[in-house]
Amino acid sequence: MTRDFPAGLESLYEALEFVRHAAIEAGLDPRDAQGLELALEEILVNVCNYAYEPGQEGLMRIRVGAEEGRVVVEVEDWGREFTPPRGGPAAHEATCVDEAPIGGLGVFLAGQMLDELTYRREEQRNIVRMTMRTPSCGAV
Amino acid sequence: MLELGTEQRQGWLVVGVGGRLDTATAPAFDEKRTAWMGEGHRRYVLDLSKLDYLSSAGLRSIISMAKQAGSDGGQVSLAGAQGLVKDVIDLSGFNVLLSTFDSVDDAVAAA
Repeated sequence: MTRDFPAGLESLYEALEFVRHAAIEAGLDPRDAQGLELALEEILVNVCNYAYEPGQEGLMRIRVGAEEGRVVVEVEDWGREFTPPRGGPAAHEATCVDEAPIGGLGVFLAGQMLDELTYRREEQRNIVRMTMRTPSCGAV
Repeated sequence: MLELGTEQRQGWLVVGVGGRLDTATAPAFDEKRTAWMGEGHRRYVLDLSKLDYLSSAGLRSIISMAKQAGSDGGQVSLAGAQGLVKDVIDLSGFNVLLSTFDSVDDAVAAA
């Protein structure tokens, strides 16, 4: 299933809803779907805030599918080349509130929730690919 | 999508946070937090037992609140997190940075 959304935060809930339904339909456990939603929010917010110039109207295309025991979600945009964030200090490594940086957790959490998180640049598009395994032995 | 309610207990402001604390709702939380701080509250228990969803934007709001409260001599404790919300708190290390409790009663009693 593929859908296009305007690349703005006003699309966020609709896009999350679309992916949640499509992923569960593709076999994802509803609890895992929450983790996927969390990861997806981080990726979509990044696209909405940074892919296009301020004031420029842009699209994000979301594709959800099933592939050999996993659900695959791809987010595409036609904006500026995405620079994967460099690993800096993150709150999860801090030991007290004063030291903890305020940001830097989004991509870390996305990576924790997913089985795979990759980025590629193809024909002027940024493509972020996320996968999560689906239960293969039926309900237990 | 975000529900907030407050109650004062033994010198703490207990803030019930329900629904979703995410990119879309974090600004509303931050606005309320500024108002509570302006009213002079310094010690907070965030009751997360009715929170269904917490993303990094929500974590940013919580850590900002804790920094502000800490610099004013107060603190922020977390209570009642469950499911994905608890996973997110543990993965992000907030269970180390902040005091966490199973219930609001425990949080208030621990003071």
